[in-house]
Amino acid sequence: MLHVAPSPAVAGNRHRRQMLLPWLDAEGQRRIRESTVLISRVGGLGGPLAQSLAVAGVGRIVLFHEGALLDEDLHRMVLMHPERVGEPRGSQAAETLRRLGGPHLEVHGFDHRITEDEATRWMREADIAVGAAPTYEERLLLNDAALAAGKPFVDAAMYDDETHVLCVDAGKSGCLRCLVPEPPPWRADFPVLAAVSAMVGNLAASLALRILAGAGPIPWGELVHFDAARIELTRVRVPRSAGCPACAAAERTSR
Amino acid sequence: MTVRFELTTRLAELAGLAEPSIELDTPSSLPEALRALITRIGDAAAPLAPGGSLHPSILVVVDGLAHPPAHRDVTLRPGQTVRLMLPVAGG
Ligand SMILES: [Zn+2]
Repeated sequence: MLHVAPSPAVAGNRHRRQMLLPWLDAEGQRRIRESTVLISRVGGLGGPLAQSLAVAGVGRIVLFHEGALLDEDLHRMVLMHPERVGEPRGSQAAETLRRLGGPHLEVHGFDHRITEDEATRWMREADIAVGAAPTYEERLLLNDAALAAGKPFVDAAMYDDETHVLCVDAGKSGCLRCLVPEPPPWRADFPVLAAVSAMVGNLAASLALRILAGAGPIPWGELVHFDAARIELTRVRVPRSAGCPACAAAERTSR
Repeated sequence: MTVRFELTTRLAELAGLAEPSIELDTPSSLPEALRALITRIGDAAAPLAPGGSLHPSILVVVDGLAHPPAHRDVTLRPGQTVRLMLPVAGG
């Protein structure tokens, strides 16, 4: 006889199945629900990332994404609305997240690129910053704001089949600026398959949720590089750089 | 000493290398080994190594540990692999 699990439709049961995970108990889920996540860009990588945070029960998401939706975005930007090409992207992504997250999720969506002042201001309230922007300038801005606030930072990026994630423990592990003191000069219209950008976005989301829940293990200060064509994973320890201004700011905050 | 260099896909493309790994006979100091690689790459190395030294944003990794520009004054041991990675940018 088929066994039917009890009461899957009862309100308040939404996160029951993820709470079967050994690392996620009621206390961890409460921490996730009470958390605020600042995320820059919700495109091919940040969109699936934010989607996973929303359905996992994060309480507040603050997102920034500049520019109007293009037809060529639709093959990867899953939070956008195909009938709204030409309209700003941040606010339509925010709408999708509100629908997915339900009434307990508060979303602030902005249709411009995050500024240094905004990052500093939001990091006073946020529990974590997540960088999913295509440029190093924007990712380093978020790295610096998170570290200055003494908060964790998760950076995720991809190019073609190459992906990377870095989790930064402010003032304790190496950071993105320790690793890449200045942005690489190579610019390109990056080739992207949604299956690959969503994969690394979801790896970053999984790590961000574990950090929020106070669970582990977290590969702090390790660049996790995965090549989806070679099926090759490389982990690189990032030493703290003595002259890194972002890490120095994190140390001043923690004192 | 024979040093094996491994390059990530995009970096190997920019360097004009058909294969992502290459073995060279070089001195054992890491800076000299990197200079030997730049010489081997030739003209394609110009944007990757302006002024003859590797661009600071290219990651140099020995035995799983990143060696930023200020921490490259080390001696390689036989059998070690030097991995060069271009930080990925895109989303
Ligand atoms: Zn740093």
